[in-house]
Amino acid sequence: MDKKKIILIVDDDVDLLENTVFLIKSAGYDVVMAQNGVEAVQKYKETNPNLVLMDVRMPIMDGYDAFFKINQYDSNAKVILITAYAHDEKKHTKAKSLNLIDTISKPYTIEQLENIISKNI
Amino acid sequence: MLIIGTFGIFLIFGVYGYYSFSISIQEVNKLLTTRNEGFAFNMMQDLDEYIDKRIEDFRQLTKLPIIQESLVKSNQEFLHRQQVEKIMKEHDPLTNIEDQPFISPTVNTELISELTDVINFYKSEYDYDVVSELYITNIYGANVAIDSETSDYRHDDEKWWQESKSKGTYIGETEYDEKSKNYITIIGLRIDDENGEFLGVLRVSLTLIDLIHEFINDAEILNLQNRSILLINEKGQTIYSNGIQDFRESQAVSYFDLIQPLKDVGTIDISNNADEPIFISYAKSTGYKQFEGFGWTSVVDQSSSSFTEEFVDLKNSFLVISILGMVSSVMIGLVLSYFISNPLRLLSKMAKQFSGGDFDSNFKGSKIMEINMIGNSFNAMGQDLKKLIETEKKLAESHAMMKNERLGAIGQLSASMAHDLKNPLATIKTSATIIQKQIINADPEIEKAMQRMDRAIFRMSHQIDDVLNFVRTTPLNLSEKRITDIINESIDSLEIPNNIKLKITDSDFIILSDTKKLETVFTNIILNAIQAIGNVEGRIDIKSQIINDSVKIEISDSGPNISSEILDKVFEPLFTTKEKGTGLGLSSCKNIIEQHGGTISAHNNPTTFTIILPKKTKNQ
Repeated sequence: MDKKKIILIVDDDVDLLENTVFLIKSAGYDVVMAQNGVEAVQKYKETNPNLVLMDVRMPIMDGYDAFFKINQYDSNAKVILITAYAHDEKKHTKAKSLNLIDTISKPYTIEQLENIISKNI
Repeated sequence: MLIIGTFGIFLIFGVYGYYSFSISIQEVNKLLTTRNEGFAFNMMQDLDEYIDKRIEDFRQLTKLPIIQESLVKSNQEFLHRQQVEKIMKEHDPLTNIEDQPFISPTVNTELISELTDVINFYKSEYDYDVVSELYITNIYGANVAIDSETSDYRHDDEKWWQESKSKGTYIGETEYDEKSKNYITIIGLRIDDENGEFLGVLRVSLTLIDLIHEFINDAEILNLQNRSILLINEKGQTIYSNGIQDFRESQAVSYFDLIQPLKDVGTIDISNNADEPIFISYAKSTGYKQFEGFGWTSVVDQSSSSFTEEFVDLKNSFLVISILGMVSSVMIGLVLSYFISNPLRLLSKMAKQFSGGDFDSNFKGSKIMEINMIGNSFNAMGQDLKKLIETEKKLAESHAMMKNERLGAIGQLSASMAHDLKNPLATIKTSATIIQKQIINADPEIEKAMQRMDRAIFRMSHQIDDVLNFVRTTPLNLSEKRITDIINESIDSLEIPNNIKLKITDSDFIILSDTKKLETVFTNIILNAIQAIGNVEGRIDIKSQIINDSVKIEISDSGPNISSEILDKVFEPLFTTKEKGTGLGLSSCKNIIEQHGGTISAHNNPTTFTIILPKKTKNQ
């Protein structure tokens, strides 16, 4: 029996995070949660998820910096950033050069999420 | 150009000068030779006249009574003696009297002293020997009187005697006389009595020095450093050239054959060098009165007068000046080009670079102060322009920054608010989705309510995007993508109502653009079209094509026209006719298209938005 794919979902908005987790779980994936960048990096190292879905705007450590850390740890890490439009251009360009898979903007539909996950996992 | 011009002027100057000097030299030479021909002719005339005068002098001598009387007496005695000899011969045929020298009785001592007087007279008169020998023979050819030497045999069989007797005058060739060590010319003159009766012959040997006495006088006057006077005889031998020559064994002058066939007076140039002509001006003897002339020729040999030499010098210096001029014009040209033209070219290049916006070029020092001044001004100008442009740029940048932060603090606030709204909105949306998934076979009213909620969420989210798009202009994130794919993605994010038919005319080409931004543009326009059509049946046409270097995208709908007074205003920010609109959608579209270097415009019949984008690829 195939082991379920693990997806790390990172967002500081707990309500949205829990909603998203519920939707992805119901789509048949194992989910790991984190509420900021530091936690996300830590969780990544612990669980080695197949995919990371991470908000950009977060306290403590934002999505870009967390991506850089994860990328440093595992250059093959698959990370999708959820942008809220106003993103840091320099960090975005750097992230793209470092194997960032894709971005998705809020508010996303479940179809968009399922699409982007099935495409990259 | 300057070089060629100066060069040309010197060339013309040189050619003209050389040519006119050549003509002048020709004229001077012509004048010179004409004059020299005159000299030659006059000298020849003087010579012939002098000889004629000498002959005439001695003809007068034949008329002297003492000579006449002596001859008559001698002839009578000789007749008598002849008769005696004839008798003697008849008696004694063995006696050869003819070979015997004549004996003294025929010689008249009185006459001899007379003739000696004549010779001495000439000698004292001219201070040289005029007459080398002088004697008179009777009709039998026997000497009657002889000046010095004894020449007492008969001459009646000799040419001079016979010619003198028959023609009256004999003029012999000028020959060297061993006895007198001198060139002499024998003149024979027939002596007649008053009735024209032949009495005898007078023979005089004239010395050459006397014969050409007059010629020598002329020659001594005319001889110059570069002009010599010659007298040549009928064989071309030089008789006189700076003194009487011993010409017995001498060769004919080189040009004798040349002048032989020519007319009596003329000039030939025997030089091979046109600049240093040697003119041989000559005059052939034509005789004077009774004297027919010896066939001699007088020659004026002039290499070239000092005058023509000066002309030639002048001509040559003219040529040298011209050549120097030409050479120096080229040199000056090169120097000018090095010191002036090149710096000027550099300056003009700098000016061009300045106009192209490159102010970093610097003028290197020139050796010419004035050029240096201009160069320094250029450098200073470059620096000033650079500063000016930089200031302008900073100003423009600050303007752009102000434009970017279009609405200033309020813009910031609205952007932050809009962004903060997105998270709760996303929560609502996902919550709605979860509810939909949980309620199976729900009441259709709940189903409809959920759909209305979805539409409300979409509208809110779209309006938030409008605000964010308008407030923040972010740099383009360029990538290559098929235009149709971009359009399709826009359509995917929308829900196209069933009453609207969408037609995409697919032109399969790739453009370089910020895909996300272009998607926003298409979404905005298509959404506008959907809202314009409303609930009635309608259609939306999207056509894209390449025109030259541009991509033209036309989005037209079957909805009502935009009234003409607001057609110009649709792209203005905060302008809207919709109750639900922010008035920022099309304004943001215009910003995005202009950021891509394109244009967007709206037309009616049917309502069409035309977007023109430059077609670029990554390599451009």
